[in-house]
Amino acid sequence: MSCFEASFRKTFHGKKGEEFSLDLDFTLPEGKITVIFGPSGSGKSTILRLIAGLDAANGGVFKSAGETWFNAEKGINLAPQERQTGFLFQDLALFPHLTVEGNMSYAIEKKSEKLRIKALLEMTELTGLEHRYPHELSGGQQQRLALARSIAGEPKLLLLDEPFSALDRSVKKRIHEEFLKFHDRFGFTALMVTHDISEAYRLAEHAIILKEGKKVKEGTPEEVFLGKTLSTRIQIPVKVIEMESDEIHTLLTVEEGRRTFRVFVDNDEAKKITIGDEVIVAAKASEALVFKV
Amino acid sequence: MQDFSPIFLSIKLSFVTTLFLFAFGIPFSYWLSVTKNKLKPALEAIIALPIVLPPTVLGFYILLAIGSNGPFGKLYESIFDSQLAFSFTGLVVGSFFYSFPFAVQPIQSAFESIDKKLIEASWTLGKSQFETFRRIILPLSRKGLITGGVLSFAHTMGEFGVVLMVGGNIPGVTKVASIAIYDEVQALNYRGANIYSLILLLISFSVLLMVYVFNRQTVRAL
Repeated sequence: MSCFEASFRKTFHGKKGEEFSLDLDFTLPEGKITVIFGPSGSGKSTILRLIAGLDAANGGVFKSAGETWFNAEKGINLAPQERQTGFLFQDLALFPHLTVEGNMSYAIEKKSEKLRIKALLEMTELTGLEHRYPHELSGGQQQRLALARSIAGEPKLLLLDEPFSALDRSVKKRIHEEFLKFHDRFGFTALMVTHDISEAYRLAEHAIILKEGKKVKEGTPEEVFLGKTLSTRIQIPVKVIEMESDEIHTLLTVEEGRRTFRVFVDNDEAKKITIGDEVIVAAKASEALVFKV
Repeated sequence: MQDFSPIFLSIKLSFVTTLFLFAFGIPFSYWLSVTKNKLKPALEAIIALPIVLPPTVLGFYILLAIGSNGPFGKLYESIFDSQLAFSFTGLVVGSFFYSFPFAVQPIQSAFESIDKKLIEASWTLGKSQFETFRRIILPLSRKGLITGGVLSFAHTMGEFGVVLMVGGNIPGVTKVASIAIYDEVQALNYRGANIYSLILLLISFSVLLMVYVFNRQTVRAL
């Protein structure tokens, strides 16, 4: 079952004035988290802005559950207000002059729905902070408030523009878990863009890799990021967070989703790696230990 | 006995002018802050003219326009059956243009400094342009609005050249405080001039003090 279909072209100018174009089509499965992974400056944010109606594509069609949001040929272009998307901005865009409660009730106007604010604040552990202003919250709390606000109006589609990229590792891990918890509870369709491979792998149920404005791969995260559907090897994409070397080996501390673990590599191999790199740790499946839990 | 009517007239003129400046200046400033019109720089230059022009030059042209032979003066007379120049209404018109940049510039720059993302966030939360303006843009521009209002008020309180050109010096009608001071000095009544001057000085100081105190509180709150 498909919820949202997009097929569009957009030409724009990059930060250095170079011309750049996006030419994409994809379908977002209903109730699932789709992640578009691509390097910084590859136009990922623009994709979300086009879907939300904040920018107009040069051509193409956006359809949500059969309803046309944009159709260049027919001259249809619904205003952002009419599209019912939730948008989680990279810098969160919390209203600085409104309290936690004010930010939430801006999204939910109907009195009958005010109860939902309470429930959302409870879920995001913001209960008791209703009268604080955004600048009086911690980074993680701001993040959770923005997330709660973006889904408060029960959008048809939640768009996430690398909202977790500025967080440090431990906070990021926690907010990922909360995001997944939210998703399990509300079952919204979401489209997230990121340049962080471990984030993409961790959150995606459906993944798209973007390169130079085009889709180069699409499928399950395993297919897309590991390259195979079935494998005799176990492969895990990880991020290197620490390196310690002796004469022969280097001990890498790597992070995968909610866990960190350590692996040894030859110093020769380690020369190619620096902290912060995304690498794949692979092991023969035949050597894996399996425990029933 | 000192006649205080010029002081009250100045306050009334400043108040009415500031009101009109808000009514026209806020939408106009907003339009300026979002427009991509190529004529914007030219328009901004025209608006800023009163800052650099001698008030007598501005007053002279306003007088030509609103005088009995001017286009607006004639129109006004045909509708209201009274003269626009040398009347209180004429003073308001002159002051409006004279103080226009002092209202528009701080308000426009406050609008322009609002993070576009906040406006877009409001749209994606389903709020119309007008509602976004009222509930996000205006409150976040508080500082600019107050600065614009106070500068307009204070600037109108202190005007001399424009008022003299378009209003003349009619006691109780167009004789504002700054002109009264000049009159007193001409009559070598330094004591009277001093009283008017001190009152103007005190009003200006208290208004500015209020702004600075308020802005400090706003900075703390945000």
